[in-house]
Amino acid sequence: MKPEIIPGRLSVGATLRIAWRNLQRNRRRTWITASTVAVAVLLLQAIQSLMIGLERQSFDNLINYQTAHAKLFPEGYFEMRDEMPLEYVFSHLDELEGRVRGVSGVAAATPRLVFSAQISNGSDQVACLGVGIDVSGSDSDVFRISEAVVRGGYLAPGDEGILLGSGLAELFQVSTGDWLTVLAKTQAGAYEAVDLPVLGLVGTGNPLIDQNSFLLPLDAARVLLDMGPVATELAVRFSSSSGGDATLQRLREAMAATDGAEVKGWREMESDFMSLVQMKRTGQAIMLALFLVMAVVGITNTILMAAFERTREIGMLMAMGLRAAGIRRLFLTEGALAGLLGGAVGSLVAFAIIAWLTRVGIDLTAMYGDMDIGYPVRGVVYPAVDVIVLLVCWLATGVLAALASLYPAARASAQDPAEALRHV
Amino acid sequence: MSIAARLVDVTKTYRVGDLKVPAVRGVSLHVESGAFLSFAGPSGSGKTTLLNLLGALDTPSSGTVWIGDRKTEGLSSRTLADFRNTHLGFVFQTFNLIPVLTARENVELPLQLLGIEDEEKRRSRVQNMLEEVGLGSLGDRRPAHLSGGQQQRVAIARALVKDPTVVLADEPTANLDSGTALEIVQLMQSMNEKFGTTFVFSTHDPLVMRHATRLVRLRDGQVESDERRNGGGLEA
Amino acid sequence: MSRPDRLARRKIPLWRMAWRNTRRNTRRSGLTGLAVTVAVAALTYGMAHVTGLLDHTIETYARVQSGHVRITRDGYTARERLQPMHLNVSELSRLLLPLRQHPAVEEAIPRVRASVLVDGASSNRPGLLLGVDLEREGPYLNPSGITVEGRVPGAGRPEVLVGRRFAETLEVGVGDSITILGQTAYRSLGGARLEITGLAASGMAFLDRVLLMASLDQAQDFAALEDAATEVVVFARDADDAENLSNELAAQLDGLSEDDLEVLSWEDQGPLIQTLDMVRPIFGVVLLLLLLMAGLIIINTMLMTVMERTHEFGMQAALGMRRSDIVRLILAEGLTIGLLGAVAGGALGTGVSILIEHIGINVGDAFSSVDFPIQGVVYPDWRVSFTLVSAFAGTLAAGLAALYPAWRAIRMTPAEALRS
Repeated sequence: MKPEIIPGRLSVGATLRIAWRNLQRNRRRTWITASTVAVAVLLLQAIQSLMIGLERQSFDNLINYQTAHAKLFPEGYFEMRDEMPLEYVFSHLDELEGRVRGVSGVAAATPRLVFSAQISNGSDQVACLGVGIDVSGSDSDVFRISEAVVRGGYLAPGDEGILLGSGLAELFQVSTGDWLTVLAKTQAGAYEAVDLPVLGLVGTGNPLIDQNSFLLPLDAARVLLDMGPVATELAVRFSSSSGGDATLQRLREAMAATDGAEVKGWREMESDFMSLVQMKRTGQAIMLALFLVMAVVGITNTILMAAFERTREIGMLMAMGLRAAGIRRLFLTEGALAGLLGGAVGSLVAFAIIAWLTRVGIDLTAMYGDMDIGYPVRGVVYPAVDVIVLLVCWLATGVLAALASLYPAARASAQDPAEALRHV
Repeated sequence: MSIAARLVDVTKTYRVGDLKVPAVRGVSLHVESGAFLSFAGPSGSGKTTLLNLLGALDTPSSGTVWIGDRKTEGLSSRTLADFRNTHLGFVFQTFNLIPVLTARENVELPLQLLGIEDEEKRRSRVQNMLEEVGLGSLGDRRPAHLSGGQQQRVAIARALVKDPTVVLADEPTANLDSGTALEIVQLMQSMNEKFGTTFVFSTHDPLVMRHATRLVRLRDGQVESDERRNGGGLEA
Repeated sequence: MSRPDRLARRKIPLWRMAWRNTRRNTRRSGLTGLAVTVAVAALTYGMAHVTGLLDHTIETYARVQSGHVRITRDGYTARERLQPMHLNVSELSRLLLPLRQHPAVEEAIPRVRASVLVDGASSNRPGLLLGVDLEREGPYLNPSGITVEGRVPGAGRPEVLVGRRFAETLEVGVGDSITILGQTAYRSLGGARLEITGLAASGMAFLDRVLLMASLDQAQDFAALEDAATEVVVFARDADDAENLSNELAAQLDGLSEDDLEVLSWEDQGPLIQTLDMVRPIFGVVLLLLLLMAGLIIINTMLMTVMERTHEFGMQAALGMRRSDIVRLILAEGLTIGLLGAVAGGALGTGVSILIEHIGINVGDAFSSVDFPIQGVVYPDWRVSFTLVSAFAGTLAAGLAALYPAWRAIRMTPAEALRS
């Protein structure tokens, strides 16, 4: 006999089948609608990938040349870091390094001595950043400066000379073999000047390094500044397999007991850059929102038309006892499927374009020249295909399309069955 | 004999703009179980409205409609939907098959709506029903690939497959040529006799009316005459 | 014999029919119109947004940095970062008047730009000293406009306006005095002691964290620039004319000055303007894509309308209407709906733009790592032409989108159409 619980609804499978066949029924309309969505999704996915690529390269650049994954600063230094004060230094380096290396997930650590200096070629003088690095090996374990040497060679232990940012070299019109005067103020407040040869040029794409910095062996820096075996920071690289945030957390915990050391992750050090990234994202979101609105109108429009057309069919389904919710579900499914179809087309085209761009790359230098566009990226940018992001965006299209179908679905299901059946 | 449906002093008024149009004016009627009842009358006489009221597609402006032992008054649209689902079957002039579903799927739909999970059971019932209406071999066709008569057979199978209390058919033969019309009404009649399902239908075709065991003539929303005939199909 | 082209003169009430047809199914016409409305509104706002974003950036850059044309000593621009004070524009009193008399010049103002060190308690802080003509800078650097506390320095007095963020790092306030050190035109070390009369917030982080603004004479004294400045910025009456103007001024200055001068229009000074100009067509493409989407939506609804009326078209054809008439009728219908939607969209877009113009969109915290004038808040810049262009484009798109349905409508013979 009749079952006691009457679902009065279609199974998911049946709903999907009917919705899909309805889409096939008017293929032209379905494809036109899908194209609308595809345009929006194409743009979204392409821009997304470009930005992910740009950001990843920027982050890599920051980590490889400037911030490492994390840095330890002497207590009080970070707040004053713009002034590069020499009052705050680590003096028991070996002990500190040992502790840091002991933290699981830490791959390498290296001391650096950062100081404010002036460089002069005799007639002109410019303020910049001097960085004393451990050339005996540990700096290369953490940073990738040696890979960014565009002329000359990397520093060797005992070298008396500097690696100069390529932008600074251009400004002074000097190259390897030329001499520059480095002027710095020692901790005691006395000015020290020393003539040093340019041993190599570094071009990292990072304006802070290229336009504002020179590097020299740690020992040479200590001699120049009249300091003992000290450092202003200890830069740390995490092993690639370890989770960055977890390692950072462990590092913090390990250092909590150590007096006078502050741990900063690279994101904290570059909060300005992070807010720039955020701003670009917001800017894009506004433009993309216009497209999404358009796509929503397209879907709503199509589903409304479908609902008008099928008024009598809806009446029949109601007469057969399909509840209003079931009617709604049919149209929502139809909308979602149309959206997913368009999303798939858009995503695939975007994927193809990105995959191509990923091989070719986009030459920023050709587009922007030498201008600082706010991203520490040099030359060619490679968009990144993040399959997860691609998929999530695609599924989100389906959800959005279902939302766009809410109104037509509600209208269709709110009809009076007798009236709907009378519809011509 | 038990009562399949009952109308007690039912009126139904439609609003057209500012105008109130009475479609049904004070109709009382008992439909016995197993009846093969036909409404007849010119267009605008209230046939469709009465069928809609009996089909729980609409509720009366005043009076009461009983279907089996349930009143349709004051029920929510959802309860009405469930009620139609379990108790009523429909056949329409324009067939109203779901165009994207095959004949078999169209007939299966009411069973799915009833929540019958067992696919095997559903399939066999659908196949039996299609064979009953003479379409055993055409189950995989979509409505567009069926003739009008075949479509209406599918519609009848769809109405009957869930074993409803009443099947309501609004002008089921109006879109068919006279030969096919006769086939359809004979099919309905044989189903009525075989399964004992109550049929209430409307027609303006005298050839079709002749098959009814009870003929209710309507005019201006009121019952003009109500004649019972034995063994329907006899010449008047 | 009547010739066919005489028939062509018969009058078909095209627009009246189109108008009535749009009202036959108001819901659907509404839907079609809605696509145009949204597109036109989006277009209007999009144009205002982009203009606000780009033009504002360019305008700020021109006001603060480049002018429309900038006159410097030859070789200065290449070494600008070193701020070589010895490369200056001299004999200002002789140069400025003829410049200002040039008919295309709105204003020509000298500026001294010097990198200085502010002597602090614990350490020296680098700053940017801008010596400006406080009177004439009104519409440009706008000294009084950016002063948020205290007052603008007076001409001829050792006073200075300090960027608010700079003042915070220096831990000084209005009434305090600071000592600045820097290079003079003779490459010697110069110094000055200035009293802070006010704090400034220009909205540009890169400027506010280093800015020291004083009257021109004070900066000249400090840097030993007698009747000289590091640059003269020229503002044109018509910014688009900058390139021409720079050529004319270069020729004019050739006879006037004994120095070798470099006269550069804003586009030649740095890649910023060129880059932003390159971004503009990209936005254009983006906005075109919006129109394309609207067109697709319109095609969809118009197709439905047309398919439904196949029978009617067959009858009209039987009555003697030509295919071209039917096409025109459908196009007219598309244009009518397009126009209605465009009017609504134009109004909506204008409203939204003007509203947001007042509120602004906060796109991010002010940041200082980028040295070009971007602000944290974007204000769209709406102009009537945006609404008009968008509305026109929307209407046109609707007309174009009606072409395909029209073509579908006339593909059938009248007999076929009547049978359907």
